[in-house]
Amino acid sequence: MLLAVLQGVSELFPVSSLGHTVLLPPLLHWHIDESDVSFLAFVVVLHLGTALALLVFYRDEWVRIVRALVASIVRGRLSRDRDERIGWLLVVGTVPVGILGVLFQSAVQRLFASPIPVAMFLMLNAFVMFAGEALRRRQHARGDRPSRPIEALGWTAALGVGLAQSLALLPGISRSGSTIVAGLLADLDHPDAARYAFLLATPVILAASLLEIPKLFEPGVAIGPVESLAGCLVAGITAYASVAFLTRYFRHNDLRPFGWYCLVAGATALVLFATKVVA
Amino acid sequence: MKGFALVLFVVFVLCAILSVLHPLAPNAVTDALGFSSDKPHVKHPVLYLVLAVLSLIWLRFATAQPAR
Repeated sequence: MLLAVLQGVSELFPVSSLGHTVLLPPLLHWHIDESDVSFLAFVVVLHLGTALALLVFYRDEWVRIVRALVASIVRGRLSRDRDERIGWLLVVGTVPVGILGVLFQSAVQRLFASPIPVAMFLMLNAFVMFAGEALRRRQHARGDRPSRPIEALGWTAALGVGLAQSLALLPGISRSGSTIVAGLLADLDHPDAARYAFLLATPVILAASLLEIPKLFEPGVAIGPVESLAGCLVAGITAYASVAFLTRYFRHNDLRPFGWYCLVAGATALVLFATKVVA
Repeated sequence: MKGFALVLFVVFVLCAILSVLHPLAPNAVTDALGFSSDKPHVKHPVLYLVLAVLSLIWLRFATAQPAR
């Protein structure tokens, strides 16, 4: 259940859930075999809970977006509808991470999913957030780049935010952190950048968990329906609380506290693993 | 644009077929693309089919009459 809470929180906070999954078990002396079929099946369930929480949180928006997308496909033409525009921006932003994730995720994780590279990527994640905030403040101070709403994003900007989301394939780089930074640099304000990041994350997390569902039925999986349902529910409730908190948080605050957390956590982990205090 | 969307559609359908049949010898490239017989996965055909459908939608938008 602790793992479900960790997943629900770290998937949406800009602190890298994958990085925490690699770093925390050895730091806390949890004896988890991360290649075990039961563990992998449980992770699928947790992701499903997170995706469902996001869908429920933004349910009204998703209904409007899907309706507008279907209407535009039937019509065969793009209109000036706000929800339709956001829908197609989300499609354009999802394509890069879909392609790169399916083609390269296994190879990237084989190469980098060990504590020292993850600790370094966590520190890099911090610098990305600090740099993003500094650039956005500089743009605001010059006054030449006012904030714009999500539907005013261009296709290139949407593709850029989607590519930024692909950075989260590197364990230690946060999906929401990189997409919020890319959104800020594309002139969104903090609440809209966060909302767009969460909307963009929903189809990716949902598709990734649905495609992994066969893992639940692999031979040797020792997780029953009660544990699966409980894990899904706990991850979902925690994720819902996280997204509710973060959407309020970003109305008046920025990414820097998360940057400091990632910098301190990454540096501490790097020292502990590099000096072999923790094996 | 119409021609490019059509080419993309054909390419993604071919990729989907290759990733279902996975007939090629395993190496880094064919593994990544899902074309090799080493650990075939359902993710690859689904991705290629989604991309093929998106190409078709693009083709539909490109061939539709402009709004009056």
